[in-house]
Amino acid sequence: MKKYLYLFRGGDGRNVNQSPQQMQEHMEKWGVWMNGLNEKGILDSGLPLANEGKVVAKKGQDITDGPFAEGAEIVGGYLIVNAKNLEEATNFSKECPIFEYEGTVEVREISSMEM
Amino acid sequence: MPNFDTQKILDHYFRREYGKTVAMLLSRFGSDKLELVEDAVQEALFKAMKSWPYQKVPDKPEAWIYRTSYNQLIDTLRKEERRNKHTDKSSSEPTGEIKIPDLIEDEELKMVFACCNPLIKEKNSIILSLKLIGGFSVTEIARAFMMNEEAAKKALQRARKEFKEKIKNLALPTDFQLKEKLPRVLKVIYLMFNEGYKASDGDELIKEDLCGEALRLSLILIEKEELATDSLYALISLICFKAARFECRTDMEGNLVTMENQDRSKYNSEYLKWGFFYFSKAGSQSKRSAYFLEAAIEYYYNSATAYSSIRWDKQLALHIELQKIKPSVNGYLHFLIVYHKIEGATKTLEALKKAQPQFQENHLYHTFKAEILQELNELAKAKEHLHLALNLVKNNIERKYLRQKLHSISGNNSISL
Repeated sequence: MKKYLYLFRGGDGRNVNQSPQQMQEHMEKWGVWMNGLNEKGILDSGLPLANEGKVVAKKGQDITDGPFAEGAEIVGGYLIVNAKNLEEATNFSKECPIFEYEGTVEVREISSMEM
Repeated sequence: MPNFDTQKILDHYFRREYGKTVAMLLSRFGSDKLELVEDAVQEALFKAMKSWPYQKVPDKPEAWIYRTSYNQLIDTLRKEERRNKHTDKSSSEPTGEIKIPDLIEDEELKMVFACCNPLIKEKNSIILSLKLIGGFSVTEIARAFMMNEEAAKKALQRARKEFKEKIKNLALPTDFQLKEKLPRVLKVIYLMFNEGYKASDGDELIKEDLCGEALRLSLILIEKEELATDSLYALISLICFKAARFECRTDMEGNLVTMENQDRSKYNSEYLKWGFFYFSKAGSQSKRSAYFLEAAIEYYYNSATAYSSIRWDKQLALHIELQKIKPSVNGYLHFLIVYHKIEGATKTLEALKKAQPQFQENHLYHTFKAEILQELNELAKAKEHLHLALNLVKNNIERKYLRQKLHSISGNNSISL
């Protein structure tokens, strides 16, 4: 088993200004999806990220406010999942609710130190 | 990772919390901050949507939403203050201790009275209630009223403007003011329900939500002892009685099903139960309100075991009484529909002819008259009135119904419309 990182970009529906009802429905889909991964033992860990932040460069001489990229590309959270290989990890991401609002999942293998 | 417990989140939870939180913040910060408050709560729900699935639903989700909205609002006010460089007392409040108002229900109730204040136009009251108390979005309001989004946005802006001009502080009416203010609240609820209940080719889901919201508003009122009046009981009973038939009014293909052809066993038993319950509570009054009479009419519709056993004599007396205290064209037509059951087609046609001038623009009048004429075998005239009705009707479900009727009168000869 290897570990893979899901990096969620955009897809939070901010640009369409969802109604409270839509937000609730969308949240429930995420909950159901993550619960599913959890129950199958795929899910390792993960956390959401707030939209506010700073970008620090040049030893702190250059500090700018987030967001860090165009709206659609802001990283909104990440998950770490267990999978046999990249293909399987990619497959697990296909049901992710992020696609409802045209977000993307970047799937990356976490480099292992084991020999 | 903790499991996200979907069971903890009730249907329409975000809508409800939106309304409650807007009420609490508006009560605290004043109505001139309306848009900022709305944005802050919207933002808090957005944050909930983004973070809760990763962790879990907080133990006290209401408190979480309130605190997050509050912080968001303070943050915005501070930014504004910095921009305007003048001090605003409210925005200088410390953020350390954020206490949720003890009586959330009271805050919500204050909003009901604010949105339905008699100083505000009825239409605006409905829109404000849906947006601010019900947590409906502009898009949902547009869908509910079958208008385009731009028009809904403008309507909402006008309503907000009126709200801010006329409502300075949210407050519960004193006993003394109650008599003057409660009827307006009831009327807004009544209109909201009817808007949702109208058979339409629009979005049935949102229409149902509108009815649900009207019922919810009336149930907020009932919690308060001094508001639990006979009129309110009657209104709730009326709503429940009609809501019980909601899903039976159209068939699977979206065709209109008249009451005569509805499957009574499919009426929603839960709504029926509440309808009867509140109706029995509303019956003690000496002076009968229009809501009571309308509820009583629905009572006789719903309590009959079959369409053929409806007590038309009781209905007729109620319609006559209703016309006296609340005369209306549609009310009179419904009276005539009942009158027809008792007196027959010939006498009804006479009555219809007498009533003619004020009914010319009403498609129900022409539809009903066509039915009477058909019964009297005056088919050419019946067709004429169906055509008139078709020209006036706005709603596609009813239009379809009229076309089918016209088709059945004309036999199988194809008709061009």
